Amino acid sequence: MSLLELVGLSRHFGGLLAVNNCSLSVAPGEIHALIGPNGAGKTTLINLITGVLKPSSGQVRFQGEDITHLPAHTRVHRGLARTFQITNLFKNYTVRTNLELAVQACSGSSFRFWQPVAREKHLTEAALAVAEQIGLAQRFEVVVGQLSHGEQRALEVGLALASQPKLLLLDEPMAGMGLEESEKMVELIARLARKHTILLVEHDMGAVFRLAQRISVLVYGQVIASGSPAEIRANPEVHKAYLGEEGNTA
Amino acid sequence: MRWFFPVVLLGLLLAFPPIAAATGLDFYQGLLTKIMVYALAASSLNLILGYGGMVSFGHAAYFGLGAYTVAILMREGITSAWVIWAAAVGLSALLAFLIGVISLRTRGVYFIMITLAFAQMIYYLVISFKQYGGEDGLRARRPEFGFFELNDTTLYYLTLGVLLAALYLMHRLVHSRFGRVLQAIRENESRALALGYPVFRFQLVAFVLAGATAGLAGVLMAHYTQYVSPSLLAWQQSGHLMMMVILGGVGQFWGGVLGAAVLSLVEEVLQDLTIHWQLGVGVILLFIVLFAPRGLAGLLRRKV
Amino acid sequence: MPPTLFVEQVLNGFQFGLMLFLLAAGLTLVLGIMDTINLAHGSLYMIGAYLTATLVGATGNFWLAVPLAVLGTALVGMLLELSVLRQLYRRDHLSQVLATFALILIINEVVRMIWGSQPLLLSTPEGLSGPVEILPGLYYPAFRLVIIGVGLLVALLLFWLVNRTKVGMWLRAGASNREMAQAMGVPIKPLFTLLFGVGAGLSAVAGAFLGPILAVQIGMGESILILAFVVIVIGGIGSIKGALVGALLVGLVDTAGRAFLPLLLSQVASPEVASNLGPALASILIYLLMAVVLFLRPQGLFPVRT
Repeated sequence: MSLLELVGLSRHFGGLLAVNNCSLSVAPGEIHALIGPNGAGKTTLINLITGVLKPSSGQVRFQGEDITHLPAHTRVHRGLARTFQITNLFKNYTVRTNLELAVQACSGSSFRFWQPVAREKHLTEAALAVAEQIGLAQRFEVVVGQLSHGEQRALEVGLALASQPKLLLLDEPMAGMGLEESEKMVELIARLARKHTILLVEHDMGAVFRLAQRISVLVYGQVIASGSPAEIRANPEVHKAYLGEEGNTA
Repeated sequence: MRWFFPVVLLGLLLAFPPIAAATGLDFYQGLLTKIMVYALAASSLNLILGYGGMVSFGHAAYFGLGAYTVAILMREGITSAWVIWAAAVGLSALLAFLIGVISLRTRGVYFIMITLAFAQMIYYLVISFKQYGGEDGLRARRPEFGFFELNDTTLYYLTLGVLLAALYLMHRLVHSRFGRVLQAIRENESRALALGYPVFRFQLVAFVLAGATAGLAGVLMAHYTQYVSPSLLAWQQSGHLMMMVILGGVGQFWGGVLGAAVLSLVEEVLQDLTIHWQLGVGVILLFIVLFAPRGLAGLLRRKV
Repeated sequence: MPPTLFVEQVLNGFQFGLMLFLLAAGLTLVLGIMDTINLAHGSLYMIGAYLTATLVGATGNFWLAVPLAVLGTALVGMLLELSVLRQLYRRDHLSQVLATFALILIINEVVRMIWGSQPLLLSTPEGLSGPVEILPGLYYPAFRLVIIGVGLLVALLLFWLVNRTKVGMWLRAGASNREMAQAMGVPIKPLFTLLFGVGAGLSAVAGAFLGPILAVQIGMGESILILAFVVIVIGGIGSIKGALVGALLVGLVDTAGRAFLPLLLSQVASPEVASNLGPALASILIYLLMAVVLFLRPQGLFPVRT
C-alpha cells in the first residue's frame, strides 16, 4: 500500500488551474522526486498535501486514510512533515528554541499554563539529538538570523524531522545553495532516507538523479510521467516538456 | 539585586494607606487604586497584543462590560460581590470568546477593524438602554463581600491583591508551554502551524483569558468610581489602553504596569496644568511611537 | 408606510453614502497602496468643516468658502504626510494605529485652541434651505439634492482620475503591487504626498457639505472615521469601486435601518420593546453587515491585492 496517494487532485485560483487532475503515489521507504519547470504547480501541490490549501476536487490519502479535509496542523501529528522552499524559521530565536518548539509540538499538549517550559529537559535533549542529525549541534545556541544559508536550510529539515514523521516533504531543500552545501544536503537526505519516506521537490537534477528511486514529472499542474530515473530519462514527453529545455541531465 | 526594587515598591504600596490617612494624602490612595486597575487592564491587553501579536482594537468592550455588569446587577438588587464578580468575569470571557471566534479568522488590518467594530457594537448597544443610563451612565453601588466592608481603603488592598495575583499567574503563563507557543505564533504564524500547533485555538484561549481579566479590571473600576459611563466602552478607551501598553513596552512583562502608572501620572499632572492636556498626551504618544517604540521597559532594559 | 417616506429615506441613505465614499476613497487608497492605517483621516474631515464654517463666516459665501477650505485641508494633509505619515510606512500596523491616534488627540486640541469647545454654526447656504418638488407630491430638501449632485460629480471625477489618467494608472499599479510599481519606475514618494492631499481634499468636501446637516464640533471626525473603515473593509481594501459600493451599502443600510427597523419591530413586538430594541439594533446593523460580509468574503467584496 502506498504511504501517500493523490487521487485526481485539482486546485484552481480564479481562472487559473494550478493543479490539474493530479494523481501520484509514494511507496513507503522510497525517495520519490517531483520535478517540473517553474510554475508547474509543485509548491501548490505541497500546500495541498500538507493542508495549507484546500483542493477544488480530488483526494489526499495518507496511510490509507482520507486526509483531504484534515486541518493542516493535524496532519503533522499523523506523520506528515514539510520544509519550506523559502526559508521559514523563527529568525529571532536560536537553533535550540526552534528545535525545542518543533519537538514540543509532538510531545503532548501545549495547553499547559503553569509549569515553566524551561524545566522540561527532555525537550532540550530531543532538540539536541535532531541538531546532531542535521549537523548543527555546534551551532545549537546561535540565533537563526546569524546562520549561513546552508545551515538555515538544514534547520528547515531539522524542524520537520523533530516531529518524527513517516513522510518528509522537502520543498527545494537545495534552493540557493553552492556546491559544497548542496553536497552536504544530498548526504543528509540520503541518511534520512534510511528511516523516512521522502517526497523531494527539486530543481537540482544532479541531486535528483542521485537520490531518487522514482521520479514524477509535473507540467502545468499535471503529472505527465512517473517512473524510475532511467524511464524518465528516456521518456520523450519529459524531454520535450522539461529536460530538453533545461539542457543537460546529470 | 533584581528583586530589590519590586520588594521595596511592594512594601511602600502596602504601607501607603495608613501613611496617607495620617498625612492627609488620601487623594493619592484613590489615584493609586485607579493606576492599579489600569495596570491590570493594560497587562491583559499586553498578553494578547505584546505576547500574542494580536492587535485588538476593541479591548475596552470587556473592560466596560465588567464595569456595567456591576452597575446593572446592583441596580437589579443583586448585592453579593461574589455573584457579581463571577458574572462580570464570566460575561467578559463569553464576549471575548464570541468576538474571538469570528475575529481570529481574519488577519492584519481586517482583524484590527473587526475588533474595533465589535467593540463599537457593544458601545451602541449599551447606550441604547435608557433604563441603564443611556449616554449618561449609571451609578454603581459597591456590593457586599460578607466578611469585610468594601470601602476606599479595603478596595485599595483588594485591587493590589488582585493585581499581584494576576501578574503572578501571567508570569507563569508566559513562561509555560502555552506562553512559548503563543509567542512563537506571534513570531511566525505559518511556521507554528507547520510544526503542528493549532494556532487558532491558542489565540482564542489567550483572547478569552485577556478578555476575562479586562472584565475583572472593569469590575474594580466600577467599585472605585462607583459610577459607570459609556466612555469605558468607547474606542478611545481601547486606544487609551493600547497607549499604556506601548508606553510601558509591548511584550515586556511590566509593560502594562509601567505604562498604566506613567500615563496616569502624566495625565494627572497635565490636567492640572492646562485644559489642553490631551495635546500633551498626544505629543508624548507620538514621540514614543516614532522614537522609542520599545517603550519604557525597553529603555530600562538596555540600561540594565 | 407611505411611499414618500420610503423614497426620502432612500435618498438620504444615498446622500450619506456618497459623502462616506469621499472619505473612504482616500482611506482605501492609502491603506491599499502603502499598507498604512491612518486614523487621523477623520480629523481632516473635521478641519474641512471648521475651515468652511470659518470662511463662510468671513466671506458670507458658501460656494467661495468650500474650494478654499478644500485647498487648505489638502495642504494640511500634505504637511501631515511629509512630517509624520512618511515615518510610518515601514512600521507595523500597531505603530500606525497609535501614531495616528496621537494625531487625532493633537489635532482635536489644536482645533479647540483655535476655535474653542463650542460647536460652530454652519448653515445651509441661502436659497438651498427649502424643499424641492422632485416628483408630484414628493418634496426633498434642496441642499441634500445638491449634496447628491456634488457627490456623484466628485465620484465621476475620481473614477476618471483613477481609470483614465497616467496618475491613476500609477495608483492602481501601486495598490495592486507596490514593489513592482516602484520597480517599474512609478514615483511612489511624491505620488503618495499628492494622494494624501487629494484624500484630505475629498474629506474636506464631505466635511463642508455634511457640516450643515450634522454638527461642526470637536470629535466629529471619529465617529464617521469608523464608518469609513467599515466601508473599506466591506468594499475591499485598495478598491475605489469597492469603496463606492461599500459606502452606498452602508449609507443605505444605516439610514434605512434607523428609519424602518423601529417601525418594523413595532409590528411584531410590543411598543416598549420596539422603542428600546429598535434604535439599538439599527445602530449596530452596519457592524452586523460588516461581520457577515467578512465571514463570507474575508477580503471584502472587490479585493484588489493579488
